Amino acid sequence: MMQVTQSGSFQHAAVLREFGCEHSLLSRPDGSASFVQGDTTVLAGVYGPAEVMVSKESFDRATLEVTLKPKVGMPGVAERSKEQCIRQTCEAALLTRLHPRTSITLSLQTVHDDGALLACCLNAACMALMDAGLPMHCLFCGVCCAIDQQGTIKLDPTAREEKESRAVMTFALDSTDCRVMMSSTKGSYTAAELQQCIAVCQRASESIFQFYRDSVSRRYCKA
Amino acid sequence: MRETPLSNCERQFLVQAIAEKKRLDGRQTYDYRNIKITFGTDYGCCIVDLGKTRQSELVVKLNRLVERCLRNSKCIDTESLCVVSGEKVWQIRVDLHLLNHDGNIMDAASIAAITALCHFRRPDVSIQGEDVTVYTPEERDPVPLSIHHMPICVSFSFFQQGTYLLVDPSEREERVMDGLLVIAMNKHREICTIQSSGGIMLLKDQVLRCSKIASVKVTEISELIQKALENDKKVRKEGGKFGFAESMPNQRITAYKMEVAPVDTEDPIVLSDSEEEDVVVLEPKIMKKEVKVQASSTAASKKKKKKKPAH
Repeated sequence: MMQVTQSGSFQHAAVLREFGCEHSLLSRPDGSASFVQGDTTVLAGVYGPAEVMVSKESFDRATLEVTLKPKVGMPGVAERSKEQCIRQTCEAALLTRLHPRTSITLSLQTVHDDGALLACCLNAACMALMDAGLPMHCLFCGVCCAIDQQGTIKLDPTAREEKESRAVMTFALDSTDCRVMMSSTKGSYTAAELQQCIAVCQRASESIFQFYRDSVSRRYCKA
Repeated sequence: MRETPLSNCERQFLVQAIAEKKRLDGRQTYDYRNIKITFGTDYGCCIVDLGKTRQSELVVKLNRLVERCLRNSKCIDTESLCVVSGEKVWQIRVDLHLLNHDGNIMDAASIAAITALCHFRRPDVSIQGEDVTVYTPEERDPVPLSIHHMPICVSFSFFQQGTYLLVDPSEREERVMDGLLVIAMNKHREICTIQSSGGIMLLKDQVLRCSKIASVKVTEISELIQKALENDKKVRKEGGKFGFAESMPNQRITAYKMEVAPVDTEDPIVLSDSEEEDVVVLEPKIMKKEVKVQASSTAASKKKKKKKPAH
């Protein structure tokens, strides 16, 4: 079965919501950032490299711990699974071998969840790690997309759009080659749709990385 | 996080400065740090900034104090939360998250808790005999909680066995203090809770003096909270944008905003569904970017080969 889109125009609604970020807003952590996507807001704080408990220490690399706290209630299984996704992405990006027998703690707090939460957490985490000055071999960003019942791909969905869609996917993409570092999907979709979503997210990640650069250059450039 | 230990010379410096009526950030003895209150999109969600205090190990102590302050003072009319007597009742839950601990978390927490309770709206219900209908926010406007008064905590830290006193101690001052007195009061000058910790012994007139100072501070803070609540109500009524995203300061060099960005996905994508494999052909657009900061180039990768365009 062939599916050819009309030339010139794409049927998918590929628009990223309004972004905002703020660095170094907390005084106690070594690095902190808040990332806003539309109404979804996540606050991230990084402590490290710091002392590590002997039971958790690694002889050749830094131990990364991630905690995600929801807005209401105690952290549950959903938070734990997001923490693992974020931890694996950060471990792949950080140069942990430069700081053996230390710990790096990343604390995330959901301030408001209006869809694309995991993507927002990844973005906030990357900005906080940058703010803390931890060495990384690439930056990463999180992009979320949803496939609705008609098959249209919607980028950066709100909570309501996520609920009405047939599949929701979040990808972590790296900055050097735009490759997929982590993917977390929910729902049913075909392999072809997966490839389309990855392509759309790769395009979106270009604007997100440009946003990272602009926000950092705003802070450090004289002009 | 393990706290870095406080050095002896720092400790001496702080105590001596307090003896000379000087504070590290230039405040006077009875001055509060700037309080900033921002509300979220949901009803009942607010962030309080007290200086830079916006997380830690005093959590249990804080929890007990705030609970006593709010519950025992009966600031919320619990009878109005009853739906069907003996059967159904509303349960209110307050989640406090400590984001940054820069001293005086008790005050910040109590302000945040009472502001969030004042801001919150619960769904409207109607009762017909035995049937209870709960209306969604779309059907009927949600109803605010009935709050009698607003108890707010004011913290006093004591140094040199009660000789010197400071209001709203910062984190450094808290490390050096001998004892802490917390007075929770409302704007009608009624004391709701008093807690003294650290084992210092205070004279009666010291405590009375503190309560007088507390009443002044509480009036100021209550006015601030009312103003913030009214502003938020006005913005919501006029249909303006509200929420944490809007309150992000745009003038700061550390904050940056980007408008809604359409993503260019114009290239036609041809998918073929053959027996062996899915072949996806993407025509990546090589975008020329002008960047002020050294950055690596990006390119969409094909499935088998990696391509890195040289910059």
